[in-house]
Amino acid sequence: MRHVDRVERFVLVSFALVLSACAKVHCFHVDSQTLCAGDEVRLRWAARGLVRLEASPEHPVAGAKRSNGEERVALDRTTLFTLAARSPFRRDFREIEVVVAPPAEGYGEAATCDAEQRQISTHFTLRDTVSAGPRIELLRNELDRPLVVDKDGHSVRLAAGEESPSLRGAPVTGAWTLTSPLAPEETCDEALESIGEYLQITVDMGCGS
Amino acid sequence: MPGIQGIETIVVLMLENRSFDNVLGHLRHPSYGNRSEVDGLVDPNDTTAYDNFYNRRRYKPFGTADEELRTDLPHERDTIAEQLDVKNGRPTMRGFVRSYVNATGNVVQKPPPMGFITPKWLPVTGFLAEHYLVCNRWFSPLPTGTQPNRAMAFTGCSLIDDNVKGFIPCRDLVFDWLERKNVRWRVYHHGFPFFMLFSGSLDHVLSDRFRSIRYLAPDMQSEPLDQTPQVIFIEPEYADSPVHFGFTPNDNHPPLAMGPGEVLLREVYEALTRNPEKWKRTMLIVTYDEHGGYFDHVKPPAIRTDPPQGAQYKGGAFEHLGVRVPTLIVSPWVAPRSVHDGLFDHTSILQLLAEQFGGGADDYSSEVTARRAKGIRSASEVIDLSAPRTDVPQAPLGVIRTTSYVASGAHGPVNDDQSAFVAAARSVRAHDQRRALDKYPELAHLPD
Repeated sequence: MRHVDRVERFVLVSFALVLSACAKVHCFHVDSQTLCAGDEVRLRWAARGLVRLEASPEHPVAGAKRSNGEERVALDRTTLFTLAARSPFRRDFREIEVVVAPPAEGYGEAATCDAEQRQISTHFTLRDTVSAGPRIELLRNELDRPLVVDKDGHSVRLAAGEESPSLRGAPVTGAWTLTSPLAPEETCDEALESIGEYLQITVDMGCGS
Repeated sequence: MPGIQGIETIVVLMLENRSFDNVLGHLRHPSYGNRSEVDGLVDPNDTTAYDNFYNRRRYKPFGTADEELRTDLPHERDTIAEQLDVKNGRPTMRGFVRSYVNATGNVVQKPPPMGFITPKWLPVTGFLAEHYLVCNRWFSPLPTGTQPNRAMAFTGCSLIDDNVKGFIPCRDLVFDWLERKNVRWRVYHHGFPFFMLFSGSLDHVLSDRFRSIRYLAPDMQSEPLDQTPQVIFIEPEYADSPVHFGFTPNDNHPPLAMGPGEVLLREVYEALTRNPEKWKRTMLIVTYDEHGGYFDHVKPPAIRTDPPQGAQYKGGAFEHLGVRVPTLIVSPWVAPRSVHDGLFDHTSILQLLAEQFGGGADDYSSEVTARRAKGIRSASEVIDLSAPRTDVPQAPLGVIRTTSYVASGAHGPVNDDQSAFVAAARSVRAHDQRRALDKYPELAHLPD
């Protein structure tokens, strides 16, 4: 019996050593990277080795963790989460910073040109980058050309450099379409080059009272 | 080229893995250098031109201290293609953050590739930029990693399009060309020189032409003019080297901070300027092999590089030059606080050698001549004075912040370049153990 115990123990220790020798973070995700103070965010991870979640600034969620897991945490300030996996021979980590109530964020995507419609445009949906909390305070067009912003069916026209409170209170999440008309005589190629191929919008954010 | 004939010694110091904007971008920023003639960064909040995007979110360049990073940045052929983010045939330079996140999984507000180092952390680089010449448009030759770009610099072409784990295949090292032209040359190295990684280099790296960096200053001080090398290559201590013995890595390769590299720059400058008679005949080129994954805002020109005969490219021809790198020309033959807007890459050095020691800029190789025909100029064009300056500005003497460093390969190679260093070092040891250990004592610490 004692011999069997020893064999089992040897196998277990060897197995644990092999596992920990290959420490690796396979994935580390949050479901929102921008949110309002008090909003919850879900952290999910899968790793191998001795796993620890660190937070800066400190947060009660930090500490030793199982290899695979998830936790929901409420944040009141911007926090950098680091998931670290350790073994005697290797260390691996992933970092995700969750931003709480930033004054503004910019969003954009590569544009395409419609020669018949004589416009350049792009469309994107913000869902996993922003939680439902942050609201639009102001839209700012920082491009050197006019921009039509369509957000969930509501449209705003902004001249170059112009800002507008038209969509104040609407959530930042949702479907965005950015369009810019071609100037007379302007070609698609010239229009796309003028914006460095990407259309973008700056959103001043608020989290309500 | 008014003064090029007055230059008798060309010194090349090629460091590792920094973009122009990472190191010199601050020179244009209104809060720092405010030098509009330098093609660095304006305030990133005043332009959308630098904006990078990941998951639709925008990221701008930001000023940073010279800090050791937690990881290296991606800089292989495929990840650099992601960084250039070519659309409609034009690099947008908007994919640096995406490449970083895809490679590391790290999503932070200030992704390291977008950092530009503020001037107080780079006192020697800043000093050289202030008193000598900045090249505004010096690019790495190929949008790929270290080995192909160093092959371009020191052989004129690259038979590989990404790093390899063993010897770097090449036709003809710059040393072979120099010897055919009866040019005196020497390499001053710290630990293992990078030249060791090139196939056919073993006898060179074991020869007397490879000398410890510790001899640079005394040689410059005391060696007679007619025995001073006409071409000097200075090899830093490489972070990718498997063994460090007596030297801290100072090649500026991330995750290493630049403090040790700043100390190296100061030591080299002080050694070269120690003897005024030699200094007035000297041109020091400080450059970087490639950008190392750091953002740069200048789009690399569309200059195509076809695979040369016998090449082992996995990805076909390169359609653009690589990302722009910081390059300083330090010589009494350039005006203080000057810039040059000519188009250069590392083969510009080979054109310069051919002009100085051969039959003209086209006398290096057919590949270098082909690049010249596509617009790559000779480095001789930066020489803009007809007589050498007599002032020798004093390098800053203050303490330079350095950080301790543990090689990432401490538990074995983690990338192809580290594997190549290990393989080359073992080959040198096997080639001639006595000479090898005599010249590179760190070989005694290299695991079998």
